[in-house]
Amino acid sequence: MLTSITVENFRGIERLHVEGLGRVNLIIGRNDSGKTALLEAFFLAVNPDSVTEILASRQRERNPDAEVKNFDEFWLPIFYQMDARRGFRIEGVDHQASKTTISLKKTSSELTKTTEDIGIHPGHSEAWALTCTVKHDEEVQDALTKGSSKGVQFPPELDLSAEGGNWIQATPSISKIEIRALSKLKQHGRDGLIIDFIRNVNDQVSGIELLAPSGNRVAIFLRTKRDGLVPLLMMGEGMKRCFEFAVNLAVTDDLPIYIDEVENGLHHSVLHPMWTWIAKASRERNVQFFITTHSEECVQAAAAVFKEQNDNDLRVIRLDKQEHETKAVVYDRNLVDAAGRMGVEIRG
Amino acid sequence: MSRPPKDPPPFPTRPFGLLLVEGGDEEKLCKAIAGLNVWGGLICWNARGRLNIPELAGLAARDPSFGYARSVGVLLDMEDDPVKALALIQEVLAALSVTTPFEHGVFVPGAAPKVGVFLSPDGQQTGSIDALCKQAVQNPALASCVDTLVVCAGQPHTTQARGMKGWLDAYLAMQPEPLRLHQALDGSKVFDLNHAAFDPLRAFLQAL
Repeated sequence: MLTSITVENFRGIERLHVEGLGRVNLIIGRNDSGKTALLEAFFLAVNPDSVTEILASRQRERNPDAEVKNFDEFWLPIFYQMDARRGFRIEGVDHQASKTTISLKKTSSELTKTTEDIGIHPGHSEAWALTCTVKHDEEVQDALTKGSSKGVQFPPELDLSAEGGNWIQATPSISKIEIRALSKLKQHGRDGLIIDFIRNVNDQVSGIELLAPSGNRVAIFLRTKRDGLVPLLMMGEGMKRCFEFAVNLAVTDDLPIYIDEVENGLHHSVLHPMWTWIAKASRERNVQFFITTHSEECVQAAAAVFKEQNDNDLRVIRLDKQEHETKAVVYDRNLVDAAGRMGVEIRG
Repeated sequence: MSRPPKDPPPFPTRPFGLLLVEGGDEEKLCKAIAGLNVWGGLICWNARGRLNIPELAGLAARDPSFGYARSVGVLLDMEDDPVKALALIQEVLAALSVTTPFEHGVFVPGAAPKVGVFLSPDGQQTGSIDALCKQAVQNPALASCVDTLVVCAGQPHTTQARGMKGWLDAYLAMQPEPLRLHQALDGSKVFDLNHAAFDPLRAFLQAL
């Protein structure tokens, strides 16, 4: 589990240091304070073996119109002040004091001239390269990502025994990944975990099925007491969101989970059971959570649940962008609870 | 749509004096005696209960704009147990990273921001701001009546602080319109806000 992180020149963050991370880390702050960037930095710090692939995946979500081979449109926004030559650096330290440092920067395009680039006119389509250097304790490995108008060549994964983990984006997305995960859970008779959670949103739900009514695509259906089988995609955002949380956690053992804007689509009455579920699951399954939110109700619900469960492992990380630095303040559950009691605003 | 402001105002990004008080009566008294100019330069956070004040100090110290505070003043009542009051002060000072021993009404020099604690009524006696207010009542005849009432009632309060509160409540109840302390401190005709009893606290606020 990560205990601290330092981020430099990554997205909107010039410099940020956070220490004293807990098992469940809730990131708050104003718009453009760097919450999602920090979430991504956590993701990278735990997964240093495929940095550019992860970044590419995140960029596709952030800017679906940009082409991965177009360096300026696709890759440049990853770097603070679009300075890719300077690059970024992320350093994470885990509970065993093991340190992983990732740096990524644009390097000379001369390095990228491969046979694929022959025939491309200079100025028409610039070849580019990103060099990722990962230092894990004393071991240093480099990985080169090369791009040109013909496409992008990602490096093979580094051999760093990365932890992995699941990223849950701000808007619900039911994809093949979730369908595969549910299928696996059903095979092992563990789909009840999902139903337990979904019932917090709709107590009429009694089961979950994978069906292909048209004979082609498989879809997820919820069995409800009143309406029978209803496609999940026809249900509200909150239901899809809960399904996404539930399925991701149910298939994750020991791996971190990253949730962007956790409260999206959820009615405030769901927040308490959601945190009860997250607190219990993270404790029992030893999963570290990194979560962003804008919602004070969400922050207070988290603090209340951790207090009820006498669990001290909630950290609320407040980000404030200042000149040349993003300042991080870490609150424990007692201070969050006190802030709620005294009406002190801690979201920035 | 912007969020409604929270009760404790946010810290500004310019120098300010921060006042932490244990409750609404203390806040009202400070506002009444500080004077408009002094009060206008202060940010006051109310703990809504004396036991909350260490956590309030902790929250203040973590605020990213805490660095703009030129000083932090804490107003606490001694109440009936000096040992408990001093323990509470130690918790507050620890939350503000102050290691210097507590001295009533004195700002610790060298700390950034400087930190001072005013333990009412005077850093020595048990009691609270009620003791200061009692000295500043405007109607001596009514005060004498309340003294008689307390004797007549057999001095039922078991501690000095409770006795003082009971006395002040009785005095305020005998106003043309019965008042609570925080109401009596609003543009008060009940108290002489320039009374010397308030001078040490006024000086403390002016030093913030």
